[in-house]
Amino acid sequence: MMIHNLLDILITGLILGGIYALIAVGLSLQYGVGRVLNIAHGEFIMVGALTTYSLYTVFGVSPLVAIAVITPALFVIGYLLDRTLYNYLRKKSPNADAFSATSLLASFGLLFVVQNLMLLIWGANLKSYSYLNTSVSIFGALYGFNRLLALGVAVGVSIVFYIFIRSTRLGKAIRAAAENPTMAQVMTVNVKQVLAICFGLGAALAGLAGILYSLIFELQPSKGIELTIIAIVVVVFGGLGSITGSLIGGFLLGLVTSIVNFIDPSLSLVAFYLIFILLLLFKPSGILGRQIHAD
Amino acid sequence: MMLEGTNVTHSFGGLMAVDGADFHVDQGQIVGLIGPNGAGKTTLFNIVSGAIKPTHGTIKFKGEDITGLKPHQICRRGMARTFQTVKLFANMTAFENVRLALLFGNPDRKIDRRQAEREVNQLMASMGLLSERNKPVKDLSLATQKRLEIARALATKPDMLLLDEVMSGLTQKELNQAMQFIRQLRERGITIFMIEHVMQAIMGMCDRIIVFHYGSKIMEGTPQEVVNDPTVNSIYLGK
Amino acid sequence: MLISTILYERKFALTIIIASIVALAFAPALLAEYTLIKLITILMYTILTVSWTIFSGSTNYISLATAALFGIGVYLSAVLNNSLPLPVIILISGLASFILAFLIGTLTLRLKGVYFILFTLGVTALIRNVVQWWETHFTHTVGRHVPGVGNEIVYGYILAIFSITLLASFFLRHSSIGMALQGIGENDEAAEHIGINVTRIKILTFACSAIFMGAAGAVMASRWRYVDPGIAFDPLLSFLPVLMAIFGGTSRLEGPIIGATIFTLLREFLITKYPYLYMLLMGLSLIAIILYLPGGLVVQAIRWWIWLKIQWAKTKFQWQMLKSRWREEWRPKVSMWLAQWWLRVQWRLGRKR
Repeated sequence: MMIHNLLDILITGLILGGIYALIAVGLSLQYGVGRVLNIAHGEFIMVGALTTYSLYTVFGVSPLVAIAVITPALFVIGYLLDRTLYNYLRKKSPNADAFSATSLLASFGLLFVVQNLMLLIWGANLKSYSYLNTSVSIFGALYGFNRLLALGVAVGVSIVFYIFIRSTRLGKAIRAAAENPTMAQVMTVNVKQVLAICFGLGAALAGLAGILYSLIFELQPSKGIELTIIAIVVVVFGGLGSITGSLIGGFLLGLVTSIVNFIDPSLSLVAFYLIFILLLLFKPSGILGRQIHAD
Repeated sequence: MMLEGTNVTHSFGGLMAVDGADFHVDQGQIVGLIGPNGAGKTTLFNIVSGAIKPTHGTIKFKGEDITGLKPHQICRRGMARTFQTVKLFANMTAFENVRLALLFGNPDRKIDRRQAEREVNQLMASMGLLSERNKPVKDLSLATQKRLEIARALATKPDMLLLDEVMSGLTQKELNQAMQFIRQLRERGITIFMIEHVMQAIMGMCDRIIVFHYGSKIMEGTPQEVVNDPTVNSIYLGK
Repeated sequence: MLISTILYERKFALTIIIASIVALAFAPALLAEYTLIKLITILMYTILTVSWTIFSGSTNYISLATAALFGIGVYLSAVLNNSLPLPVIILISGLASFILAFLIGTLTLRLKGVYFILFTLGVTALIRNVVQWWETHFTHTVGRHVPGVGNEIVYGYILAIFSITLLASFFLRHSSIGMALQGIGENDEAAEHIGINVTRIKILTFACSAIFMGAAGAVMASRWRYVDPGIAFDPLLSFLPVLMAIFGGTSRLEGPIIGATIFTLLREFLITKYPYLYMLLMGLSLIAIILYLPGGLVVQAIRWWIWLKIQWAKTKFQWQMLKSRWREEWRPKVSMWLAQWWLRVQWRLGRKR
């Protein structure tokens, strides 16, 4: 019985962790490289989730196929957003702190715009669909195939992304830019392009995370904010300039959530904030972050 | 000794910006700090002024240990500084910049508004800044801004002034005026510790020069000794 | 701490403030009940916006915790309303908000601004969750009812809190602390190096600004009559003051007041006419304001006013130029031609005779 519970917690933890890792890496790309505090991140996740829902329930399109549709679409949207809105604000801001403030406010506005659009299209009620809900047996316990699928995709993408960010030239450049944006500006030929690509990648990952989220959970436009908060805590936990930190932190905090859910589900946000508070008190730079000096 | 640093070290993720530096500045002197770019000079200033904490070592100012104190505490003990990239309050007027420093840099004095105004005007007049006092800082020329930053630092009534590359970007005439001004400061009893690249200023003003390379002191002495030192020459090859 | 004597210079502004407060005091006697209720809402948003601006206006530390700090007042009032008189509850709520803001500040204001912003984003949801959890597990209450005290009394309290908030903001702006805050907003490293204890000033200013939010919340509970965690800790109340402050502009005292007034009325209008679109429109307005009105409406209006005055002066000048040219160049010529023409006519007439 105990092993059953432990396995349950572990697998749920990994599923959650996979999704958390994706949304955190997405946010980390946007803040780490472009210094944009995109608090509308959760809204993009829900857009991905709800679009998948509609594609499946209305057009019968499988969520796996939806990945190929939604992820590029959100990449383009994110890319364009950065090239137009955030780039304009970047040019007009005298320093990094001022840009943090204005980009945050712009994202704040975006949050309300996107959430209202979602409410108009999908309404405020909970929605869900079941796809590949057949049960699979692991060590005597039953798990929905859709959950395992989500886990598989999340872990797969995470691994691919990890390899990308560690080994390829573009990946290393992104990591370097995230750790030291001013240096990156000196070394990159087309800064605007790189920043916009990173923002677009962040949005694409949000969309992907949303698709996986929709396989498992119930959907509602107002759930965006709690996902943003989770992404924020994971990014701070992993370290504000570290993309790998967000990846690893996502899985770790997914496990933590799973454990807390076992005890009392309504306390998961409290647990997150306790971790946030401990980080702020003892290691604001996160587990993998370095002491970041003046921007 | 006005300022004394012992084994000051600062490592940043494996990078040793400052590595076991021992240095001192005596009262009433003008001491120069030179070295190639990246040698850790500004980092040292940041440690001394309290902007960053050293990983090892101690700093003593006027005989008291100030290691780990915050910048505002060190400022109130009588140390002021300027910055390599001018850090003025850009949208405030020149007058307001200096007044703020006057009000907060001297906590033991109760100054009322009119007296503060008088003192700020006096200080700015003595530095030839009175005519610019109501202009927002962002409208001033770089040379004026640098002068203003020094004025702001002086408003806190320091015993020691840290100057970070104040001479860069000045014309020959401005350079001479600046050097004259700094010598006057010394006569008023203020100890000067300055980072500089402009050789004319270093040679012309400093009583002693400390040479920094890769985060530690490689040599110190009078300007003559430093100029003739073979190690220094090899580092500054071509400079 | 040095408080400068400012009355002799800012007498004009202070007179306007006091006059407005006195005028507003007569509102219950002069206005219809419906308008009075609207005025209460306007004053509430103004309190939140002005308090928000006290700290977040000069520094780049954007607080998204307004809903939490206000909500604490609302909820405490709902919990305590049977045991204590309203003025005491207001004081306790103010204190509670101060403590919460002080804790948040101590945790985050030592660090870069981004931590503060991110932390305050989730704080409202966190407190709502905690309160909900507590109510479900311990007190088993879903919602609470608050006895009403009549709109006029609510108005009285709100006006009092509004007055104090306004005066506090006014005096702070012109005091040395206010100047220090401005310096901190411009360059906090430089501010620290001229002797300003940046962290302490930030924490204390943020905490003090929260008092007004909590006090206002305590009063509004009596107005709303029914309170539950969702109503008390409504995230919209973190968003709207920010929108209003940015719209009005944060560099002058009138900014938040005008922004709050205009947007409260706008919101009332939009909610009734476009109930499904108003959030969208608010979001778009915020983006538009950041892009096109970065200093806020008040500053922009002042710029337009100055531009208008310049245009008017130019026009007057050109008119004067035209008049003097007329006098000196054209009128003599025209008079001469007229005289010549008249003579010619006379001569022709003379010849005909």
